[in-house]
Amino acid sequence: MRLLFAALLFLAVSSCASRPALDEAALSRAGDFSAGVERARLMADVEALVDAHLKDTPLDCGLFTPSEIDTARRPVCNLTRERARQLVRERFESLGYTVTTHDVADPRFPTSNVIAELRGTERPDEVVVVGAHYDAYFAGADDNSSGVAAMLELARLASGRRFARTVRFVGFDLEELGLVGSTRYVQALSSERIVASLVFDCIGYKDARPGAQQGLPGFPIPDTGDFLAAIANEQSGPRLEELYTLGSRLGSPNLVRGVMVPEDGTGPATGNLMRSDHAPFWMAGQSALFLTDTANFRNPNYHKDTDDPSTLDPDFLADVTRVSAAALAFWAEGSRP
Amino acid sequence: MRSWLLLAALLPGAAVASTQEVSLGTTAVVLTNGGSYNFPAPRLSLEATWSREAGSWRLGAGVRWAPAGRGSFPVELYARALLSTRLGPWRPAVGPELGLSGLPVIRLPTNGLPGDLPERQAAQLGPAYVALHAVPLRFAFGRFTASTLELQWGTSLNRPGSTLRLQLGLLHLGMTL
Repeated sequence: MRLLFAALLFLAVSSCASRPALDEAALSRAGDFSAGVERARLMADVEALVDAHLKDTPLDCGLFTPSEIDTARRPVCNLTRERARQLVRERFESLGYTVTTHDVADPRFPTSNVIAELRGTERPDEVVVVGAHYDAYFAGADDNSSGVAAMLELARLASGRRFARTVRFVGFDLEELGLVGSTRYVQALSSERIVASLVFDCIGYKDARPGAQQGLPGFPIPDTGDFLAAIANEQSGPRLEELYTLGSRLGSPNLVRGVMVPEDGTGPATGNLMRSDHAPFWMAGQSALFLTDTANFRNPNYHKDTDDPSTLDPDFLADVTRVSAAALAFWAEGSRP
Repeated sequence: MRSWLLLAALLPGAAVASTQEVSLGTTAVVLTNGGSYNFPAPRLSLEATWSREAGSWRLGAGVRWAPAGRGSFPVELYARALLSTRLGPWRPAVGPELGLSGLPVIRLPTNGLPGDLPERQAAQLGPAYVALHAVPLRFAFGRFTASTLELQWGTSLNRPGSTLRLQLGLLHLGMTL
């Protein structure tokens, strides 16, 4: 039971208490799968998504009351999504997926989550979700074209392969206005079992200089911004440990820094850890792992017009995508031709 | 203030050991789930409490009203059992409080942003709460009691730990019956 009078976080920063022994055959398959990640493709996708955002028409500013919004933190009059959604959909289709959408016809904020699915060959009711939001402020290179590019790269690698469990890629809509698409998506979930979820949000910015990484209040993290923060609740704690082990075994021992919060992860001390599309999964008791470069705690371009591809670190983005690909293959139990 | 202290010194143990007391007071309460959609400022409230002694325990119940507490029914009803002791006029006490709160934790957006997530969060929080209530500075002067800096630390009952309740009792004045 959750500690009643303390919202203290249990941290497992880079030192998960138990490092699970992974099946060597599964590890080998995961490694082979992740070796297919191509840095150039990732950056090309980031460029294409950024181009889509820059050419798009922002959401109608009249939907908001800007005087009551901190527009430095949330520049709501510079939010785009339509062209990026179309790009994600077309990419999924070009990879051979049958694409569906989860649409909610809200009169002010209709949303459309874009979904591509690879049915599991042995346990199709057990699902591994890979998600990233495709809406963005300004160009949105790190936030969140980096995450969408990683999702598209995983979809490319998984295309035409077989996994024991179902693999589902979801492009979430309107994360920036309050996790809208993911909240609606989770509310509509059936009784299927989600065994793991990976949610990417800002995964391409690195700054290894001391002092570049600001601390999240209450979290003892390094002051060099050269790691991937993987944030789990108790349900997704085992997935965090597996991700960490996979990173270590596949040649990126210092990449993943884990943070695990108690119980379902919601609570007064975890506000900064609930700021992306994993949060609705946590609130519904589902497993979800949030992967991030920590956004505004590292990246000075966060939610600014300077968040462009030239500020990203392609090697870092590729490393994060490789570890994530290995995790996807491991959890979905594949891949096989 | 000195006359109060003198009176207290003259009346140790002479405080009326009545079994019932009523008190009125003011408190400031903060409710949060740590998210963006909270009310950051403390909400001031007035409260009325009835209590009675039962051995070392002081059992009580009351009502708290926060006129500017937001929500359609900004009232709290509570019951508490405080373990109390007497050291001259000093009557410190501590114990659990159970209550039902009409004060919303989640603030639904009024700036045009969609409310899906905060509505979902609000729907998951029930009105019942549990708290630890501490009364470190309560004094009895004859039939009258005064208490200040009462502290309370609690959480919602249906999802313990998902919200934090902090309450500071500013001043409570009571009278034994």
